[in-house]
Amino acid sequence: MSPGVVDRLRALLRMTPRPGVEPAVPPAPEVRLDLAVAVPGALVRLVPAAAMLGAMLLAGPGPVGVTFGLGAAAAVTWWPGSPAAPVFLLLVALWVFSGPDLLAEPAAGGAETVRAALLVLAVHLVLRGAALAQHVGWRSLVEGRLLARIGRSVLAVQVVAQVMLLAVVWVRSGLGGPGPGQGWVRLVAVAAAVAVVVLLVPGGWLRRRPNVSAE
Amino acid sequence: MSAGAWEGRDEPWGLRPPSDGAAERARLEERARAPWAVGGLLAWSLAAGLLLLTLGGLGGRPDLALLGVPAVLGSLWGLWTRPRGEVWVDVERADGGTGGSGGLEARVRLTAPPGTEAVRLRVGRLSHGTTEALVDVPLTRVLGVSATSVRTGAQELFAVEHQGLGPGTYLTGPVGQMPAGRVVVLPRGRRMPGLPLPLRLRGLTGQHESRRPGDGGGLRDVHPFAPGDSPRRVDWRVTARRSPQLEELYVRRTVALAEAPVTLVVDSRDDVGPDVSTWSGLRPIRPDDATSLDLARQAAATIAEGYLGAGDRVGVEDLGVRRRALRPGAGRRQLDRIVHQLALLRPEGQPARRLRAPHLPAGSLVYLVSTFLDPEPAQLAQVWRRAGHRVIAVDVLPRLREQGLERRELLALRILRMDREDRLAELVAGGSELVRWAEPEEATRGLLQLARAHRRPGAGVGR
Repeated sequence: MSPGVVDRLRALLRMTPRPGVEPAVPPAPEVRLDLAVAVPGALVRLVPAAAMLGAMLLAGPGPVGVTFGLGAAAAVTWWPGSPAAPVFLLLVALWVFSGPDLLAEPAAGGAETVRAALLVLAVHLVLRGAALAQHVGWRSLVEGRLLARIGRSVLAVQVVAQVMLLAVVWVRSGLGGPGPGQGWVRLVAVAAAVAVVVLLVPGGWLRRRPNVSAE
Repeated sequence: MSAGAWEGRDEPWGLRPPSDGAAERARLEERARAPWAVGGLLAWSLAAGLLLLTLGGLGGRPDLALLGVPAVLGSLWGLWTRPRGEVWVDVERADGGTGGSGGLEARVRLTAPPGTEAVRLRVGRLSHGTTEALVDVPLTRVLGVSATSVRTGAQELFAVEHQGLGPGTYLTGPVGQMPAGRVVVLPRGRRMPGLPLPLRLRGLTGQHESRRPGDGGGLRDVHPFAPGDSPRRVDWRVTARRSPQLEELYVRRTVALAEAPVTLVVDSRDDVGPDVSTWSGLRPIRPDDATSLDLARQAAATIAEGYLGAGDRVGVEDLGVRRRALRPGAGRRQLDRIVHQLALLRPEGQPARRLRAPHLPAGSLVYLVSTFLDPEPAQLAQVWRRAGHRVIAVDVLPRLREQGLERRELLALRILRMDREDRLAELVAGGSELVRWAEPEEATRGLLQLARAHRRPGAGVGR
């Protein structure tokens, strides 16, 4: 990496210039906000891509999958407001679906269960990271207190998701693993999903609206 | 809107132009009631999460379904706790208007509706650019903002654009803008160890000893008692030595005190910075560069503070705008008036050429504070000098930077410098004295030399 690129990166991350390369005319002063701890926006913009790489390592896709995954990582870095993060979630789901059930072994408690738990965490970080990064410029600042607050809300959702994961493991271990005669479990899950959609999604989203432009 | 699209842009975040009265009020009320907008990312995440839940359920793959759980929970949490109303921002100056502290400080008061996860702020000044930040606002918060600046006078404070972000930062509130308020940064004078006096002192009060006999000053001479002398002034020792038989009494005579009339003539027609490439006005002057008018304000405030502290009378004349003249006066309030007057100085269009020099009080010490980039101030100095005033020219052109100038610009600058140096040399040859203010030590030394090399202090007083 050339020294010029290094210097630009250091400036982007708001680091002090390397010794001996200070500019002849110092940069013009900026407006300062009194933030106790602030993280450079460039770092925050890289969080979803880093989480994506982690998810790819856990999911272990093939070369084509890796290519798509890297493309999604690049897209979410440059356009965090784009649907790249949800699309990546579907990609991960596709990779998981193409492999064996990660929670198949009821008595597992082992590597596959941990992998599944980490995948749930990684895709969550991708989504939340993208949602945050879409409001952060490369040269802006993100307050540390805010990151801690977002971290707490991520933790709350993760607690629910991981408890559900453990519940699945527990239920399956109680039923003796997946097998025939457990169709009712799927039925209950689908019914629950439909109930969630009907009850929780705002009604306006599900109703057809008159075409205003046609009037 | 993606953050990348905002990079390097200073326009407001999609604000509508202000409308009038009732319509504006109705719009504000509507905005205060309106729920925050749902971002596209939330809809995509919710859809993807629900899809995974359904597929996982149908396919009997709980691992698949669990991947969608955080997306669904996070999105639904955002929808449930959707805030209403808008973020309110107020900006107030924090440094009490004293100025001269090396920068501007302000407090940004933020009030956000319940459910707000973060507030996106863009704080900017014309000369400093903008700084963006995502900050945590637990309902209310006061945030300090500062900017380094050596500029004085009327200027804008901070403009703030803001937008609330809902839970999960999936939702966005209405964009608001707080335009920059105007503030006046007062110039702060420096301490001067000594200041020169005019050729003639005036009046019977003050801090300076004149040559006129009177009260208040030091010993002038010992003189035989004459009608009108107070018996209390009789010096009995001298009388006993010189006239043992008391044929004649001797009195100690003291000199009277007087004040120095000082007029500050400030040339507000130019406001140029050290970077010559900004002189065209197309590029902003760096906020850490003091312009000629900043130096002029500082010089005039320093001089006024010094003389008014010694009880002298100081007035101000503006070469740029005639209505800004301040009549000579003394005391602390006069200093406040002068400092405020100096802070309001600024170039105003093309000033009309003066046919006659401003009329100054007789015997004034004239401080002509100018860049001397044109001949008018030097000509006025010659007129005042011929009228008997002591004239001190204070050169406030900053030390110029030549980096980045093109060859023809360098040539133009060289010609301008030669012209200016000739003008200053003529000024000195005509009897005026010169002090360069760009370097603080040099200015202090120059004024001190003028104060010590005083030309017959109080000459002419009492004749």
